[in-house]
Amino acid sequence: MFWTQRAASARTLRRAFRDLRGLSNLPARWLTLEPQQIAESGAKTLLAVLDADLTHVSLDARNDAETRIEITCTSDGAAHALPSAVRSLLREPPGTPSSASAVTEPLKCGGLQFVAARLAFGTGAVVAGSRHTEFPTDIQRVLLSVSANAISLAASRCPWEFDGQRLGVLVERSADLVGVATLDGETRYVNPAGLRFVGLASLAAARMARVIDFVHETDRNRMRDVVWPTVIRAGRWQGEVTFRHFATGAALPFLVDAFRIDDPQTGQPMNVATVSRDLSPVRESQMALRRLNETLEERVAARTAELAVMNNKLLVEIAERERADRRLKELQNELFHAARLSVAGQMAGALAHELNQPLTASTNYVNAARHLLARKVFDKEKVTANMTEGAREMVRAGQIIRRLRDFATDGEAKRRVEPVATLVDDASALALAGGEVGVILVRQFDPEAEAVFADRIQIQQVLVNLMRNALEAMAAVREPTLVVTTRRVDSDTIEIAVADNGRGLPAAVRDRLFEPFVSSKRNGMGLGLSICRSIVEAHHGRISADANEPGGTTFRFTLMAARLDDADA
Amino acid sequence: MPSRTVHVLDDDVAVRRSLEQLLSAAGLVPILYATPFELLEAAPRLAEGCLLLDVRMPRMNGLDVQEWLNRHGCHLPIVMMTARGDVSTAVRAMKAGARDFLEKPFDDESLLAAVRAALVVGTLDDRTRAVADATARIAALSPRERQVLDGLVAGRANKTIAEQLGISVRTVEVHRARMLVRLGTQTLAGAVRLAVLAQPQPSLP
Repeated sequence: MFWTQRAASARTLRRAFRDLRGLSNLPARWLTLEPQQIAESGAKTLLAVLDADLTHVSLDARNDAETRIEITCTSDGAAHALPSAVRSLLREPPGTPSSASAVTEPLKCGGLQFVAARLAFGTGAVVAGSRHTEFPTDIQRVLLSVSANAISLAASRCPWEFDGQRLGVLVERSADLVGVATLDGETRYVNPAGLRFVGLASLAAARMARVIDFVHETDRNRMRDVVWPTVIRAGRWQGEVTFRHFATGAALPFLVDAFRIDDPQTGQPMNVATVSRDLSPVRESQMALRRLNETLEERVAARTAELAVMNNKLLVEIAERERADRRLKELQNELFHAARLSVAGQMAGALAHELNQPLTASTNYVNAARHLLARKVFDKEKVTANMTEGAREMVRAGQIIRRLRDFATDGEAKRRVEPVATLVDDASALALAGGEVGVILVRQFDPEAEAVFADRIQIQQVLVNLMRNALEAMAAVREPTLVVTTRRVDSDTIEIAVADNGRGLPAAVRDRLFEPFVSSKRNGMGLGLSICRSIVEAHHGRISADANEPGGTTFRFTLMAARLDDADA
Repeated sequence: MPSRTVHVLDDDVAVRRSLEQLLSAAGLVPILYATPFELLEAAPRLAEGCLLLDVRMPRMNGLDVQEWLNRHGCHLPIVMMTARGDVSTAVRAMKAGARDFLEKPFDDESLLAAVRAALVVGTLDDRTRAVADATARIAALSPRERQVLDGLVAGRANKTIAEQLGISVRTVEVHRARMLVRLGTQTLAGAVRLAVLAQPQPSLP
């Protein structure tokens, strides 16, 4: 179809040519623009080229009709929506511009003549309106038509070319290996990352190789027999393939996604492409993990072995220590016993010497008197003097005995208010320090028997003595049980009892138990209980012993009761 | 005529003075020393008599005095007085050359017998005869009696001896009594004296 305009001046024609040239260049200039920008630019260009009062461009944003772009430009620069009356023009079929249609006061500036042209692709359209009554002239129709085509071209090409460009960048910059090959397996394209992976310098070098050359020897059969046929037949194959480094021949594990590219028009298979991910970092981390696991196992094994050695050492040490402990306890026992014996022995020795002196003197005096009396003539005064001295020495012997007794009980100076429980606990700790195995210690404390007025050291001596005796008596008993009981007897008296389940007392010693030098023990000096009695009696208490049923002995002694409040008084 | 002088050393004044009374009454001549130093000071001048020493004294005991006297050429016979049961000390004293020992308290007969025997200046023949006599008596003991005597000489108590020999204390006491009868003595001291005499003696000074 061709138009001519009768009244076209030369000036008008020149201008029309210039505009046409400009419009023909638009698609190239709009190459990098977004559809929105193309629509805006198109609408503004039309406004100027057609000397129009309103232009409108609507475009499908992409290849779908859902997202439309609508741009309206007016000569007064104000924003206007497309008058609803014009909308009907947009429904015209594509092709030549519509016939002009007059719209009354669409912009409140008088009536406008409108003309529209549908775009070639999609549902878009170009609309222009003018006050000029002759609008549109034939030239304006041509210009509108060319503009619509230019906008249509630009807009329809834009997403493809633009996306292609972007895709290209994406592929170029991808960290994965991206490659395209012919159906015969000739390499067409490998992205830079892919070239780096397989150690190729350039795309040209890659194009010299066939796809099979990229695959490691160990995987070539599989590639040839499984992977490639599957891609050609089914369109896609995914899995692990070992590629080969062209320079070193090293095996490169990749996760391969290979797919067939078909011609969009004909649907015929064109190419095979792949996006393959390098698995070596995964492999390395797997290896590292495995190595770590292995070394961990080794380290655990080594450490376990070390621990076993340490444990053995410890066991040996423990055994040694136990032996040493046993020896120590034996020694302590011996020492304890020796100390008690030597104390008793020293006391006995001192007692013997102290008493021997006056006894010897007394005996001598008496014997001297006897010798004198045996003479026919004797000095009566001398005999009397000897007898007097002899008697005086006997008194001295008695005094020594009293003094020893006082020595053992040491007067009343050190007596204080002492908590009974502490006395008993301290004494049992001392008594059990000998390391008797398996002795059950039962403490039965009467809360009413809180304190006594006593010399702590002496009462501990008594308690330790009674407890040691009990332990010795229980040496052969299966479950040696030592029961220490405290009890308030009356307001002034507290009783402490030490009971054992030992062999009990022989009848021979029972009645003379607290006398000196009476003992039922093989090595006993027979002083312990006599000293105990001395101490208890010096504390104004009493000590006694009773046989237990079915076996054993209970020793009881009493002390003066006190209240803990009196301690500081 | 043997000497009648008895040098008495005891730190206890009553014992000292009672001994003076008894020895005097028995016709002997006691000279008293209150401390070892008094005796040692006088020792170089001592020409005759015997020594009656108490073993147990502070600072310097009877054995120390005996050793000092031996070293300084005073060889007067010594009778040692010990506490009862202090047998090991008595044995040491005997081995160091003491004539006899007495356990306090002692009766006058034991004392006077020991002192008079010491005052008889012993000749080598006397000593030899005493050793032969002791050896013969000891040899007459049964093995068990000999073991009990050895234990006593070593200063052990009946109880300890019983334990060592694996017999009862009662049996030890029986052996001991029979052993004393066979040795012709009534005291442990006498038995110990014989036992020590029968043993090989150190060379006397």
